[in-house]
Amino acid sequence: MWTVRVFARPVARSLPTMDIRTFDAGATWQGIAPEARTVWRAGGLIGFGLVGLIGVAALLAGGAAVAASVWAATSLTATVNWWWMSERRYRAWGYAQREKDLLIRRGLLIRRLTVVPYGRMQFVDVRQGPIARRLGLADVELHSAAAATNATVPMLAEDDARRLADRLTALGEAHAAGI
Amino acid sequence: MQPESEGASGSDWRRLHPLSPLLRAGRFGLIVLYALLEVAEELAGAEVAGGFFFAAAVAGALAYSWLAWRAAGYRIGPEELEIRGGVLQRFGRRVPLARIESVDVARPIFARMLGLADVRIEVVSQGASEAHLRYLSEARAEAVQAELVDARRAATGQPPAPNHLGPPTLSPPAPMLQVPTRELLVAYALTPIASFGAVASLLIFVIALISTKGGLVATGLSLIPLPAAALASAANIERFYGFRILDEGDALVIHRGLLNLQTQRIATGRVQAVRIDEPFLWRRFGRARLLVDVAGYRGASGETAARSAVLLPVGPPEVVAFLMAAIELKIDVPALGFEPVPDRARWRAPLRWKTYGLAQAAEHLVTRSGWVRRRTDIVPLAKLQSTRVTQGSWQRRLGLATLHLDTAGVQFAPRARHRDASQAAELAVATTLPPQPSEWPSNLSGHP
Repeated sequence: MWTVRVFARPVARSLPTMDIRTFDAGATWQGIAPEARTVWRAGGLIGFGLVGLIGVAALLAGGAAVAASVWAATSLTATVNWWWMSERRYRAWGYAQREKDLLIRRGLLIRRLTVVPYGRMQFVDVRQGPIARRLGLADVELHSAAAATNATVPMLAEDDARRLADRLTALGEAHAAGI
Repeated sequence: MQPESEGASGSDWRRLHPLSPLLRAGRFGLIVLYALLEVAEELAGAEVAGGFFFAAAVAGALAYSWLAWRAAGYRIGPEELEIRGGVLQRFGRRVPLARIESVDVARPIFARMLGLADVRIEVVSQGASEAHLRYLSEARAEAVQAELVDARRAATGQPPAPNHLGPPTLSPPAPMLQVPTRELLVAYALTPIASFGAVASLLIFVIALISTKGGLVATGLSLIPLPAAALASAANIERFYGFRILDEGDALVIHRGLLNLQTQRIATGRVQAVRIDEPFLWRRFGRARLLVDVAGYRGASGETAARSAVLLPVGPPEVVAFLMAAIELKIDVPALGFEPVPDRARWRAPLRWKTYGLAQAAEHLVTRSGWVRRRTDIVPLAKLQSTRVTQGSWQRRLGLATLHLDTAGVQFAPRARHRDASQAAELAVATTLPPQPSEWPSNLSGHP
């Protein structure tokens, strides 16, 4: 009987949605600022690049040639990969402000969708790293009473970030008061 | 930049005390400075040059702390409290005044020596989500505390929660529930750890007997897993010996323990989620364990109330139902119909997919999983803070996703694994929360 069931129902059926990233919920999705890629790429260059320089320096200093070249090659690959992945990461982020809640989607390997009702919002953080600040970008973090709520919209243009934070604070107040 | 110095009033940005960044660096800063001095001596090889290097480092630290002081500030607006700061990484935090649970003035030892104090604004009763105004002079700290309390009262019409756990009872009432010792002994001898320990020792005995053909050696070896299993059982029995619950109206007080007597207080309104554990041997006899996840509370002296508490170490279904009614959870678990996960989940979790289930009751979401220890997590919709759907790459190919239910509790992480992806997403966005008159009423026995 168990064998019959396996063959009677095919594994792949046409379903309304298989990939969380394509889940629409009928809301208008917005993306993050395109400069996010630049910030990530710059961070990657600084991070991996500096690390790679150690390998190059070791090569020039005449150290273990094989190890140093492997080191340099690895960090070069990592830098290039990071550069290329920044584009995909940028496209993977999205947020949608609905009537009663905020939806945030993110992730490439593990796709995630976070739903936070406005009435559950505790406070809103706006953060800026040093590179992001130079380019006029900020992250908006939404906190609820749950530690696991990870509702961050990164790399928004400063005005958008401020506007979103204001709007979320106002909506949080309104919904908490039961209006 | 703003010209106000520390203490200027008004609804504009105000500064903290100038010594704050140095205090915040604290012991860490002293260690760093000491390390720098050592490094300087090593590098320079001469005391004078090392001292010069050290002076440069100190000057750098002072400059950084001046910048940090300039960047930091707080503002009490009509609707919210805003805090900002950071030199390299700027941050701004906005706390709606209605969300403030309590405002404490704390005086850590180094701050106290300098006459400063830390205003601790507790936003979430979890204890981890606090906002600090570090540091203000003591007088100013108390003034700001009073100001925040007034502002909060103006914003909501209610004062913040008082820092005590409710009125003391006059005479101890009769216990509402008591767990018989015999039940406890039998149940905790039959937990998975104990049973696996017994099976393991039997296996080792048989194997040793076959291989060495010496009965004494076999017996000796087989006794190895027993102490660990016995210790686990004994520890549990000691923890829950004499378990009894007293009903104090808005809270349940638990007294338990054999050597180490413990008292736990669980405010019924603060229960975030409930878990029913049923190990496979217990299920045969119809016994279960009930745990609750409670939003933590930190009183003025810094203690934390029960976070995850065992409400019933072992008991039959009637007692479980009775206790769930006592904490105001109106749900009948045995009557629930659990939806299984789709068949294709077998490719992702071949051993466990049949044990996963999800049930939607009127005001609760219930997930179930496991066979060796069957776990049923009950989350009231009123306590649901946010929902998340995650999908790993294998889940994506199979059209599955995991639905996470986030509550203010810190112990459980209720989730429904390997559901149909569209069902999980629909449930995440469509879970309508019952209307709440106010999320954070002033009395402790209220939500969450």
